[in-house]
Amino acid sequence: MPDSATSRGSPSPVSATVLSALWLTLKIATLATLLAFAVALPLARWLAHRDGIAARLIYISLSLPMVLPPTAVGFVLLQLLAVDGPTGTTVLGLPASWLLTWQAAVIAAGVMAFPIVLRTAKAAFEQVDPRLQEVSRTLGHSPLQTFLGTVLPLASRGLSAAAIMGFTRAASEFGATVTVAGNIPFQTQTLASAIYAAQQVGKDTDAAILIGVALALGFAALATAEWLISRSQNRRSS
Amino acid sequence: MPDTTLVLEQLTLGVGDLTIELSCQLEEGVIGLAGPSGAGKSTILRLVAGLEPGATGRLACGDELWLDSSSGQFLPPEARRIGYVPQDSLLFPGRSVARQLTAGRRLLNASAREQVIRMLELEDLVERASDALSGGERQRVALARALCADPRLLLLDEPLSAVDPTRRLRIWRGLGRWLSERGLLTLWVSHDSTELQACCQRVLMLDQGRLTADGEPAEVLAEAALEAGDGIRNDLPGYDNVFPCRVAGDEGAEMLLSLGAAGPTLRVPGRAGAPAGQALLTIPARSVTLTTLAPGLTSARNTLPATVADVVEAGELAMVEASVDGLEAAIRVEITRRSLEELSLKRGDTVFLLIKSTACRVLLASKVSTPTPT
Repeated sequence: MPDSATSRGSPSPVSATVLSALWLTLKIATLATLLAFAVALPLARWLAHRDGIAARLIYISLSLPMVLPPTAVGFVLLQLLAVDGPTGTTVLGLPASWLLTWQAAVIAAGVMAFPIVLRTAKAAFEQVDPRLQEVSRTLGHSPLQTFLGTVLPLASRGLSAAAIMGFTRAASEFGATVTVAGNIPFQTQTLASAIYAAQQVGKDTDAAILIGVALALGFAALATAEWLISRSQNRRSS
Repeated sequence: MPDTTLVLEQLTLGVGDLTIELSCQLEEGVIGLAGPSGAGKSTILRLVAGLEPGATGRLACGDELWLDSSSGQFLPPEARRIGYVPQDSLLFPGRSVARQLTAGRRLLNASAREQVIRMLELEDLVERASDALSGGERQRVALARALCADPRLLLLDEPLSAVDPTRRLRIWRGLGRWLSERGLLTLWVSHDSTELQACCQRVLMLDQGRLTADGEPAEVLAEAALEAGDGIRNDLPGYDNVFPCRVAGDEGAEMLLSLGAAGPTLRVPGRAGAPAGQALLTIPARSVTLTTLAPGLTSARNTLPATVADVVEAGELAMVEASVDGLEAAIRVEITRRSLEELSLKRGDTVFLLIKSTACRVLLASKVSTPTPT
């Protein structure tokens, strides 16, 4: 494939790599955030307002991926997702291996984003006065109705922040992802791993372009978070 | 109308250092819960509301068993159909007043809700955001929210404490009618003895989680006032002066009350009947007029010579403590600062107290046993 001279109208290899990495980053980070959110939300709800030793230990244990080297998390995932691992395709009866697929990247990025989502969501739930939940119950609403009708709307600001923080963490994830999903262009290569690959082979210009795209993506994510927060504040004050 | 008799049998709950232990039956009407701070009044409301799942004992409302710790039965709050107004109002943030009023799963019909809005004077607030309301407005909205949820039992924790006095008076009247028309059993926590007397048919006096008195509001409150103030008085409005007395007889349409063995005899409206005996007399401090010259004929039925024992100034008001021969405790008289200045009162001055007989309350309390006038 030519390096730079390409026919007019067809994308250059750099732009094709960038577009693919951007697309994969968005896809993987979005799905990873959803995965982390799905697991973290009920746990955060359960852990909020709990001060017992057991709850604290669980909370600390669940936060460990945040302080471990990403490669260590990747190694553990590698063992778990190996074909004959505890959650490998053989055990689960799936036709193909998880490893070196974008799905593995979703799992790795989800695991790395999980502690941030959990901690931010827990803080959001803790901001909701538990006595409001009691009032809601006395007004005839079940615990689930109270959660959906009172707690979630009041925690929405913090939960939005949790989603954005989780997304940015998943989008920038490298160590764990590259361990289980590799760095395969057009298949598992995200912006983070593409930057690494470019600078490894001395393609500084490509790396700079990719960094620019990553910056734009991060800026967009943070701007969205700011917008969500200000919208929520406006709604509260109106 | 469904039976909502509340039966509490050996209801027990430990909260920090406090242990609630309560057994009683509450049939109907508005029942006040009074007592010092930390007596467990609010906790009892929470317990009845089902917000204290750690409680033991038995609690039933009509035919429904809400709690029976021996069989492990516990009905959650949402199934109890209660209206609960917590002390801090606890409106849902970010919702308009209109949305607060329709927050209940069950709701009164629209016309009854309109009635509640009018009764609690919320017409001008309905479209407003509840986050911008004052303390008194929030309390009225919280009360309306509870009423609009069509409860069969109302639990009110100082629901109008921040509402201005004039409006509170109007609300007492309207709310009293509303509750009695619907036969809604109401437990009303209050520190305001005037409120308890105005709104409640019965008062439970609590101390350290236990029931210490139960009966007609004036009697229970007077008894508590007597105990709280070294047997003579306390700071409850209307109970500034509480004296044990003996019904000495009557003259025409007036009772004669002897205050202490060597104290004065006061006249109050009513007949002693038989048997005449021990009673309590309450004299509101603001219903006593004070003069420095012996009055001529006045409409006040009681005039007592006294000596100024102390003057305590508080803002625009002053409390004059006037000693009367034969009475161990002084009679407290509330006057304005301006009156104090014009009368130039100081300790040791001779004054005359004019006490309107209609402002005095005589409590022929069967429970009253202390202190006995000698």
